[in-house]
Amino acid sequence: MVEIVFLVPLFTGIVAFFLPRNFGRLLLVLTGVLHLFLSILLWVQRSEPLFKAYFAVTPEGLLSLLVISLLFFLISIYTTDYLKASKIKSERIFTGSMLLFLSTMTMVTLSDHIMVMWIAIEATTLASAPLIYTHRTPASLEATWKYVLICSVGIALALLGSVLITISMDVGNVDVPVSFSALTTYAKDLDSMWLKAGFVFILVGYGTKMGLAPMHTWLPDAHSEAPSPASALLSGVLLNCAYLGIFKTNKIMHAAGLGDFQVVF
Amino acid sequence: MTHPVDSILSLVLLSVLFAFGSSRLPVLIKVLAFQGVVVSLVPLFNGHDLSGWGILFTLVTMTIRGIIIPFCIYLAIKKVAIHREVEPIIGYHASLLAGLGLIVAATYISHKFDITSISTSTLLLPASITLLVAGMFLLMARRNAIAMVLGYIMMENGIYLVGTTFSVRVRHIVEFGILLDVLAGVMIMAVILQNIKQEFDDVDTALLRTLKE
Repeated sequence: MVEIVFLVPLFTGIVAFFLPRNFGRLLLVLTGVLHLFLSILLWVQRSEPLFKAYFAVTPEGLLSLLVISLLFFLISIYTTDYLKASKIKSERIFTGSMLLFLSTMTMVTLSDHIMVMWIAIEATTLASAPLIYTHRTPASLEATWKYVLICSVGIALALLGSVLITISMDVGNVDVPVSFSALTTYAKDLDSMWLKAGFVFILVGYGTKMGLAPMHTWLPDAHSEAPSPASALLSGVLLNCAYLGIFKTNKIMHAAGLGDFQVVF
Repeated sequence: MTHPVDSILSLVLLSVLFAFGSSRLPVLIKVLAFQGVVVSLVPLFNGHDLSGWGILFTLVTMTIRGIIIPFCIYLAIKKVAIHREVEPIIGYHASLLAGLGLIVAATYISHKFDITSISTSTLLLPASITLLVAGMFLLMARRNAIAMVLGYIMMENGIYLVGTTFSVRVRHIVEFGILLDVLAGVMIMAVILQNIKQEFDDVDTALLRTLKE
């Protein structure tokens, strides 16, 4: 039952929207502790996911998960003091979005299905948008608009890339689940032209989210306008999540013997 | 013989030109609603999934893409826009010419790819490439923030159209997840639009220039 790691913050995140302030702060720390505990448990003893078609525990995912969990735990302690000192008008939205953001990022690290990965990465954008607009200033509004629009359009290109990879399965007559692990195993049979096209779009798409130049323009604005706990999460772990998408596709490319194509590109 | 999908896809191509030439936001929304309905009906014509769940899912997609998403934007317009011009950076005539060029280029490129093993429709790939690039064009060539959101939706429609070729492989639950993400994204954009309107008294993106980089 691996899914519990992202279901816990999802649940507490929804609850936090309806709780009074002080409970929200407490809930943030509690979820941080619980999430860290569950992640370490996953590290020590590998359990099997309930929906094997969509989720899997991979070494690279586990590594990012532990980084996310540790960072969130530390941030949740800091946030309690931060919220006392700063005057945030809608604290419930802030704590709720922080927890949902944690949940979606955890889902990215655990997803194995190409499309589920995309859904999770797009969900991180949506969950973190309210965080950037926490201070309610014109500048933060502009940063939020830029962030949501540029990242959504960028990630839409990654969706196109994922679709192209499924087309490469169709053309190559490969009949396996559309998951990163299965595709890496059968990479040799995939149609190389569609696979290359898919990789290019995924690199551009998730690259936008990762802040690769020249699609990086949203990044400095969003990070500087967000309150510091959210900013720490954005730069500390969100970019790794987007990179995970590129890395997993990269593994398929290497397995397909197209590693040199990436060097040229 | 003409594939049944091709006849409605040609209407989509025309609607792109219509969207490029129209100056008013309500018209643009109607065009997008039409595209949403047509694009979500394509899987039925492709004929590889006519089970009960397949048809139900098609209807749900049609409701979300053709009715709910355009209606969200329409509500946003009613609340925020005083003047409903799209404020073009590239003029309407130049946009139309670009649109025509785009359709020609998309058809030319599609001939280079061989997808006959997946779908026999000749217009599927040109239409999806056109929608994708046309959406990006609207994003770049219009200053009005609402028109930019509409461009994003048009892009998503194009990607969905490419995706209809593979719906055999991907379970409906996954496609539904994608759809929900797009819907949530559009709703969040609509909320931000209302805030922009309150803060700056307009939705002209030329006002959003304080942050450099």
